[in-house]
Amino acid sequence: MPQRPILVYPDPRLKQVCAPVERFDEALQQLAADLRETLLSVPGTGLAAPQIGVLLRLIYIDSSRSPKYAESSSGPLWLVNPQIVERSGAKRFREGCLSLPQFTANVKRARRIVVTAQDCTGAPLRLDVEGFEAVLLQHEIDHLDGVLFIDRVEDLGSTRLREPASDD
Amino acid sequence: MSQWASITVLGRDRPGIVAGISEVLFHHGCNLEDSSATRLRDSFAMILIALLPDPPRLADLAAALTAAGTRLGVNVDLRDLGQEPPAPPPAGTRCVLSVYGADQPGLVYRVSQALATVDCNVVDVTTRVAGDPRQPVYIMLLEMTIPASSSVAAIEQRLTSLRAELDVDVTLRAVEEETL
Repeated sequence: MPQRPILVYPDPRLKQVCAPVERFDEALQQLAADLRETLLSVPGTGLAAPQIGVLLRLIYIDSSRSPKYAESSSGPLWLVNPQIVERSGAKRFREGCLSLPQFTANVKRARRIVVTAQDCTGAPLRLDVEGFEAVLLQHEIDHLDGVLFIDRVEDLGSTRLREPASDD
Repeated sequence: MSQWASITVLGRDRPGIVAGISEVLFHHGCNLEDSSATRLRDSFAMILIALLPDPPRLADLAAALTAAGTRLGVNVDLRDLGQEPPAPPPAGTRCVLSVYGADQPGLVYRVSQALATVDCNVVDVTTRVAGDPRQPVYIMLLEMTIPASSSVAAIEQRLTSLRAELDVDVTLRAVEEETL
């Protein structure tokens, strides 16, 4: 089962707190591969496991998929059980979400974060990122706690309806 | 003596509405103060507060705005706000409330009614129908002032029952205001 359907709100699974990954087994490798395949099938830079219906703490990001941020990108990354351990600065960014099509809004995030996590083999990881990648990680990690970006919108002047993607 | 007026504009969106209306105001010596304008579906809605010249010549201004409105295909309404200086904004804790869920009739009413009964003063509302058109999601964002007589906790409690009744997701948070 490589590419999976992306859940859209109001699917209740998007509002659940996900369980930590405990077993770094074959099933996890398959899930990681599915996340990547699924993201490759859509325009987007990140995907969290609950967005494909698996309530486990695993995210996949690839900021190089956005031409604007490709140069500063760390490339494709899987983070298992990610935790933000440091935050600093503030950055306002117009966010959209694959699970909430046709809506974007400005969200205030930390400009720089330090994240600890594990890779898909269970080995510890530590990331120190800023700018777009920091925003992306905060957005995806929020998914693991059932938090959508609408829950964080601050100023109301910023909400915009995105032009619907054409079907052809 | 200072005198103000509000100008409300509504019509099918097209290029030139802001320019056409603000041109009339400029030529009549009006000074634009607060304004809000946005595209709602395929309509364009604009509300402007203008400081009028002395003397205000309101009848001339109304006629010129109506003519511009006819040319642009929009309705224009001019209202005299008198000479009272503006009252200060409501005091209290500034909060933003997100309410979202499957589209259903009465969401705005039920939520705003709940807020009104605890004296919350709504100062800004934006609503959007978004998501997959086959399963539309209603998104409502309200900015409001919670008076000193109430509390964020009390409002939270009120909203918790609404959350279950309407099957919507609700997030309330205080606006962080800092002077930097």
